[in-house]
Amino acid sequence: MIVEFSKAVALLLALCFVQSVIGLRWQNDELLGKTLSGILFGVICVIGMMAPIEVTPGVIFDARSVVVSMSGLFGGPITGGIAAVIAAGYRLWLGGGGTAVGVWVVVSCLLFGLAYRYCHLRGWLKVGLFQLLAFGLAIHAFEAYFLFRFLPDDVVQRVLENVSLPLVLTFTPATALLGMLLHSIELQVTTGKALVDSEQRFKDIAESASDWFWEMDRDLRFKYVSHRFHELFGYEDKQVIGKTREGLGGASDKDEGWREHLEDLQERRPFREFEYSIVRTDGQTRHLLINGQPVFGLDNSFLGYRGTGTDITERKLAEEKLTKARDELEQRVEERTAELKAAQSKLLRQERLAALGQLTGTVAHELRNPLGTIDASTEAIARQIRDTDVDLATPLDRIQRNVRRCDIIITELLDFARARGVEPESTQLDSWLTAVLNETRIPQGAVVHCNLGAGDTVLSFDRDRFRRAVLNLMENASEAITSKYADARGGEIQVATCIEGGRAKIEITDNGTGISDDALPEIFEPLFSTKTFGVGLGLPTVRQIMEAHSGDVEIVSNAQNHTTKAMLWLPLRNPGSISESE
Amino acid sequence: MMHPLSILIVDDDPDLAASLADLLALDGHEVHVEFAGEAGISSAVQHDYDLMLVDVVLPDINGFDCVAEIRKVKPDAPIVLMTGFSANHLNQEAADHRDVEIMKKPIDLGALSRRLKAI
Repeated sequence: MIVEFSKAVALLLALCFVQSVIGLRWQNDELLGKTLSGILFGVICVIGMMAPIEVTPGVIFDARSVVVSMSGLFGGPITGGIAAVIAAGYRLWLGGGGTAVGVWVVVSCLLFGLAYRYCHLRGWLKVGLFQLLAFGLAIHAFEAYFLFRFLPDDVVQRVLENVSLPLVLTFTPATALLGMLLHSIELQVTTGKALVDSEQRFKDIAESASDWFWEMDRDLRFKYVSHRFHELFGYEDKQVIGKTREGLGGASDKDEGWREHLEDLQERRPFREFEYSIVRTDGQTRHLLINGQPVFGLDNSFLGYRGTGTDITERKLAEEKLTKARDELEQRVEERTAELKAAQSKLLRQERLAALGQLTGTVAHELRNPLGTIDASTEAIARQIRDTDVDLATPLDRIQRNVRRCDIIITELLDFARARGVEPESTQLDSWLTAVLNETRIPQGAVVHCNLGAGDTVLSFDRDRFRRAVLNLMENASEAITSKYADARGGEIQVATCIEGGRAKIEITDNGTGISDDALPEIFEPLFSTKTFGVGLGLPTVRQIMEAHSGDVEIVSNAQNHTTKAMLWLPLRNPGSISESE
Repeated sequence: MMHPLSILIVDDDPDLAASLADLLALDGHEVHVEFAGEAGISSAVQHDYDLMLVDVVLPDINGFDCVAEIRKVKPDAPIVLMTGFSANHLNQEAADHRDVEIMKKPIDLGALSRRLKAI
């Protein structure tokens, strides 16, 4: 009896082996797999029935209850159905007194198996050793009940004596054993399938991603790079595999990024966003960004690294562009700010000067009448005492001289006050300048050299205002000469004109005292004067006049060489001149 | 002593007008003073002055308009305008345009004296 049961168990093990092969081989063709499984289960039942325990002729016991119930539980309706049809068919073909019960056993076991499967899929029942034991017991108890109920009494008696105990004792654990085996096969197949899926998924991602994947061995040499890397950089597998990253990327010890990276590798640390560059096979330099994770074996031994890589060249270029644009913008903002500040301070200065000019203009004008009164009254006194013996000649002379001085100051103030607002007229520069120089009082003994080279250039300027500018410079030159040469002998003033860089230039050079380096930066400041007599508006007035003409004035001086050169610049066509010259 | 002339001074500054008048009187001239434009014009029209000194800036009408009004009646009236501003080209042009002399304040007394002698 034991030998027969062992045969049955061996059969079950064979079933398990073939079932696992089917599960793995036809995992993707579910219907074919299930059909084949069904046939397998069916065939096993048939083999079992070929060598049964025969109680009486026509009443056989075999493992069909176990196999069919398990085919229902693990194979589902298709597998179970096919197995049941084969088993029942064979049993019918065998015939005998137990045929009806035998077929019924097949059907009921299938229903039991399917019911368990249903409960398992719904999560109501687990598949475990105890559950399977209980299941086996239930089936075979139910089967036994049927035997008693439907077999003839003498057969029941024999069954009870010879079969019932071994049936329950062996088929119940056999059910559990087969169940456990099939369950583990099912798990294996599912896990294997998941593994294959996962591998495929990884492969698909690796090949379709815009980034690439790489793996390094324990010597930090590439052992795998995904196809994307080759696409991006043109290298073939044999040019990469077995190489180190620093070998490919041209690492340099001086590069701090590389140093840190190599240190990370040495310490087997994970690293993120390490940037480096490689030269593509077409010679172009590309920037790469990589992340990596060390890989360790079960025994904690270091196996290498793996990670991802991204081509960040475009991003890098865009960043560089952006940085450059930002720098340029900043520079431009700075420049504009400086320009604006300069313009603002110029405006402030002009506003201040305008206010100052208005005030001084009014005051100066109002002073003229009292001054005239003093002058006339002094003259009246002088006339009246002329023929008497009262001697007031010196004090009266002093009064009159100082009236003249006041008048000069007032003239200077008024000139400064109305320096803005010019009324340009087209004027031939050289001939006009010659006329102005002829009117100019030059210290006796001094010489004026003229070198007028502007030819018949016609400029547009306010003759009256420009005359004032030239006269102020000539007066300064004369004073510089008289304060150096007692009788002005040896003093020279050179006046030159020329056209230079789109502008006309008038140069007035003297060999007088020169201007000290300390004083030079201040000479255009209003109310700055080195003279004992003067308000300090001469040069500021010149500058105002030149600015009003969109021109410029520049003074260079060398106190050691005793030369001062004043230059007036006028644009060949200033904005106010166009309509008039045309 | 030059020959006495009859002179009109029109200036709204009484001190200046008076001091000029005093000075000219010392030379024996007969000087009449007015302090406003309209008064100056009517005086100029009524009398035959050898010279009229008229300030450009007057409280009622300006010196140039005075000249125009006077010239309507006496086209050849000898008028000298006095201006407190520097003799800039605007004043100068206006004066040239109206054929009138211009002197800048404070009046150069030597120049004035020469001008009177020329009459």
